[in-house]
Amino acid sequence: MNNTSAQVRKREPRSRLRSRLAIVAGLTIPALALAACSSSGGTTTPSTSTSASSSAAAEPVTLWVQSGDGGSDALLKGYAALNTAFEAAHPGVTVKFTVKNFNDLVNTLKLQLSGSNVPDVTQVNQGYGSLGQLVTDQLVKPLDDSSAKYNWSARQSEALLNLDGAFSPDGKSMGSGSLYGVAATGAWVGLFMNLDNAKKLGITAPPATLADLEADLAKAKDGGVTPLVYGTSDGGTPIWLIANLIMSQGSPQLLTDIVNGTSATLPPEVLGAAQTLKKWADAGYFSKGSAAFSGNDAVGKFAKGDGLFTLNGSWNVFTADNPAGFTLVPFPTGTAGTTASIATGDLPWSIPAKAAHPDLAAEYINFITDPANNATWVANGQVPASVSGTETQLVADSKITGVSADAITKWSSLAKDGTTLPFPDWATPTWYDTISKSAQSLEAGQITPEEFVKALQDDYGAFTTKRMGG
Amino acid sequence: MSTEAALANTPVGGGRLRTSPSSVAPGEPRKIGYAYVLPALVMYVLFVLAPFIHTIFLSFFSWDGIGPQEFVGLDNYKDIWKSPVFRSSFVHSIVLIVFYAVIPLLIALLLVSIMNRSKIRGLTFYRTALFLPYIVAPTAVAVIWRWLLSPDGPINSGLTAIGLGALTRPWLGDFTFALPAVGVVGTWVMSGLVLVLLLAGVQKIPTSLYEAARIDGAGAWWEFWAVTLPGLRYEIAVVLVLTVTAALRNFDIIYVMTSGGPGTSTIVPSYLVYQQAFIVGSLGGAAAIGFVLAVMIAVINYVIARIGGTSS
Repeated sequence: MNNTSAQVRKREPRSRLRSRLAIVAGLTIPALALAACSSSGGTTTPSTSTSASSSAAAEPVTLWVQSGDGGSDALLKGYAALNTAFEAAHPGVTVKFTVKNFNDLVNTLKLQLSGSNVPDVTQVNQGYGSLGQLVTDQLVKPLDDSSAKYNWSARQSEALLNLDGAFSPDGKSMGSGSLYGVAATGAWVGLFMNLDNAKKLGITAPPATLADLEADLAKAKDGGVTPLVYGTSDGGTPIWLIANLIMSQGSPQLLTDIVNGTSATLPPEVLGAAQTLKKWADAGYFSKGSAAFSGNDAVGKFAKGDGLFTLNGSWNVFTADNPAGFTLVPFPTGTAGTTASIATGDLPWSIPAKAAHPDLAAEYINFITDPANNATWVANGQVPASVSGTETQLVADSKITGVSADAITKWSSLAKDGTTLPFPDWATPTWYDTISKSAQSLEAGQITPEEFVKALQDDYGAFTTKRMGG
Repeated sequence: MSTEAALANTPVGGGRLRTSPSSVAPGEPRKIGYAYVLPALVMYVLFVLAPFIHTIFLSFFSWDGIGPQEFVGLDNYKDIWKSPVFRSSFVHSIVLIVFYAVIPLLIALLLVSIMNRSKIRGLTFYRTALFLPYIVAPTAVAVIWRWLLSPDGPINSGLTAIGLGALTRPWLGDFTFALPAVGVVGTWVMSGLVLVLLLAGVQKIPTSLYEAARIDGAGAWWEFWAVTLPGLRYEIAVVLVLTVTAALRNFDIIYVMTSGGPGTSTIVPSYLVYQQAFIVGSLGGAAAIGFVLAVMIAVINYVIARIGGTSS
């Protein structure tokens, strides 16, 4: 099948699943945010701002901001609060905040930005298929000048900034070059651990190395507790597991290199990861019937007390009756003492090339990523991408406990001292499907670890060769 | 003759149309007829024929939907031919035809011949109840069945409750049973439609034929074989065209229930069209699969129509 050209991505594993468990529906988004929130809002509402650019500075200005976080109510509540604060700090400026669902945004962005009626600031999706194409077609502006002006590298690590928004100006290599997008909030994938079940099994601390983890899984199996509550029907979890198993065998940087596509051949660690996954499946470490339920189903079961571990994202935190009975930790690396995790920003914010108010837009991005505003994010249960070091205090002030607190505090230590890694499926447009379907087949014994690697390599090699060559 | 001329020839008083025998043969449809079908024809050309031809055209290009189109000849078709996933998707379609068309037809024939031999009270009620699955939105059907078939769902619980716990399995996550499990949903949806169509057909078979068969000493089986089945031939052809088409273009139920998984064990051509167009961003590849699928549906339906409809 033709895997080569890339336009649209689907089902970002960390993306729209956020609202399921963590966020209670019923929050009222201020009328401001809803003003043009209908699905057609982003494309058909005439912008009142285009004509204002040439007029005098005293005249009122409307800044059109477009989000793709539709459905994530708590997150949008955070944005609404920051919009109000931004307007207060900039007299005469009105923020027109339009919201699209993730798929609506990603599927229409290229067309929208190539037209004449474009937002001043918009969220984009990371990866070759999405932001990469916008860069290639010169539809978004490089933000290097703004980054220098506002000193963004002081608030987010070089690694995180590059992960979320760096591309070569031709859009052909990801992770270095100019900066095209910055994220305001973050998300990471880790091991959820049931501490009560751990205590019953004689396990006292989260695993520090892969060997520790395997010992814990074996203890759980012997003790009659599901070792890893695991659901693969929606793809995400097996992809993260494979990525973590690649990472834990050697340098975490390996995963970044794979995603950035520095070579068209996958490293041998992929086979090692496949063999480990098969070994775990054969040992009965996964939930029975894992292919029939989703990663979210798995978290649901886990939150009810089933199992010792589950693998999921910081956006899927839940409120347990006994918050102290659960913790969320990064997946162990090969060596004790080092931390690394799939940890990236939410959809980064970019400025379209045809934006009417690019300077004000840069100021807006600066404002929402300012660590001085972290209290607003934490108060809404969100993980601020910029780290100020006050997160632990903010979490305590907001009375956030359990895995919800871990999601925020451990992000800040990951972003400061650990290694932040990209989602593996950013590498090619079809890898999400290829990895998840092949992992299901591998787990069920339909294919061997070698065949698994071949499936991934065929997809990856074809896309990477074409990208580097053409 | 132009349309205007035809109109001009129509007598105002509503008398018979006078046309010279040389221009229109007797019994030949008047050309004014084209004016009557024109609105529908315009719609058909605009929204069915033109997109169809455009799709065929696109299948010879490599195109991401926005960027430049690059002519690649038959490469998209070669890619399809070489892909084991694509070939297996057609095998899955054929399995689904059994569940969507063959099994509902057999069930409906059985029910129709039983209903035909005995008076059933509340037939209208049963007919409505059996037809209901067909008018429920397929996505809703799929969501309901995904729940029924889930590992902790009612079907597994029911099996455990009656002592058949050994048969329980994660139906939609099982490489062997996921496709039949999805197929059963098709059987459930289609049986009502097939039954209603056959019931209507059986009512127009003259009772005299049944009486004649009985006088000749035919039992239930021969009555079915010699009277009911031939009498329903046209209805069966219609039913097969509808159900086979539904089986081949199945997308919504697969997408919601399994997304082609586990592995690629329930992947079907329509899902691959979606995947190529919206995930890979290869509109050319998607168009090629779509065209192959359309040809396949056309050929199968032509065969059905030949066997069922015209040979007498």
